[in-house]
Amino acid sequence: MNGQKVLFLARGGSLHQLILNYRPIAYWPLTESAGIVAANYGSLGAAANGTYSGATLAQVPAPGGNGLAPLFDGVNDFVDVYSAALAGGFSLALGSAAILWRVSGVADYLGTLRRAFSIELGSSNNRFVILKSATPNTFTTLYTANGTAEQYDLTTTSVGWNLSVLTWSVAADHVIHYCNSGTALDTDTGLGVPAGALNAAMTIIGGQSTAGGNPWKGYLSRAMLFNYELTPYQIQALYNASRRGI
Amino acid sequence: MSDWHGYIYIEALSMTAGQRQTLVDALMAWGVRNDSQYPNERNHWRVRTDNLAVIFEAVFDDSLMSAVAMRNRLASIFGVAQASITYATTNPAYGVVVTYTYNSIARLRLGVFGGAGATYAASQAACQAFLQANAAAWGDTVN
Repeated sequence: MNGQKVLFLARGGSLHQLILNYRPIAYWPLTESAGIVAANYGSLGAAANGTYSGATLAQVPAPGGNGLAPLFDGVNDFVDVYSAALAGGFSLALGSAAILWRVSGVADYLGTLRRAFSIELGSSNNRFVILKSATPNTFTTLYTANGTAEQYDLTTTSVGWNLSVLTWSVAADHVIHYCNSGTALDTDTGLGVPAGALNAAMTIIGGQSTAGGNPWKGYLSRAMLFNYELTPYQIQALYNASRRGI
Repeated sequence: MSDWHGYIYIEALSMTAGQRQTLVDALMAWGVRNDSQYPNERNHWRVRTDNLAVIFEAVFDDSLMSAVAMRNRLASIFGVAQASITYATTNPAYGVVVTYTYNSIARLRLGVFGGAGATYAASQAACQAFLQANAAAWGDTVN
């Protein structure tokens, strides 16, 4: 085990710093208290900042401390994170996506499908989506490349914060689904080959597109994108750090 | 005048594409805090998938939220006499709805989620319930 990592965790390092240590290309903490800019702390820098549309900022403690998380109303709130910088840096061939999510209440596990984090390249044939399913009490992570979908449905009624992670590698031919643990929920193989450019209207935190549709209802925090596969160790560390300060 | 933060609904019943765009352009400029530092106070909207209805959320001047005040505003937007627009009000489950008629044709419908003077929470809850009941039309996926 890496001695520096052990020391970091022993000192109770923050989730925010841990995420930065993992060098995401994009990391939107969503801890702003005012303004419409969702700052990116990842390596793509301010060129990949997002823009809030309607979210109510700074409502509940963000997981892992260091700020407050926004509320999304399930009507017309989202964060548009499309940018030319992200279009140039993001790949569905190799990478990871992660976000912390929390529904408003257990009743939110019924009814409409709601997207927490969603990026599409051109169309739904090439995308990843982290979402609350329209199937009752189900949370889904989905990866689709060239129309071949790899999906995992988690049965849950959690009303606390949850960490969902999706990692993918076309070269290794696998997609791995995680939730609240470094232990994989599922590993899918037989991936398609992704194609297409980032869809400017469908690169969204808290919804499907800038036109609306399947908006998140509840809280979201710390959306992350990486250009490599997070390891189970890293994911477990992220989850452990997210539990501190709650 | 005081501020009212809530959700409203606009539906075009019999309008040309140009008239709808004129109306939408005017409505997008509504809101007394469109430069607010808080995103939820700025006017923002969601369009129904057939492009004939829009839900707006903003902070509005509550003196403009009455049926007659909206009638007068529509008359100004479209350059017609106020008296040429008539209206009828109903009160469905989601709030108050006013249908505006011009030249004997119902032209548009305006709804205030939660009703006039509703709290923000009540307006939001009514809008959420409306979308849940009309999910497919608004582009939401349901089982």
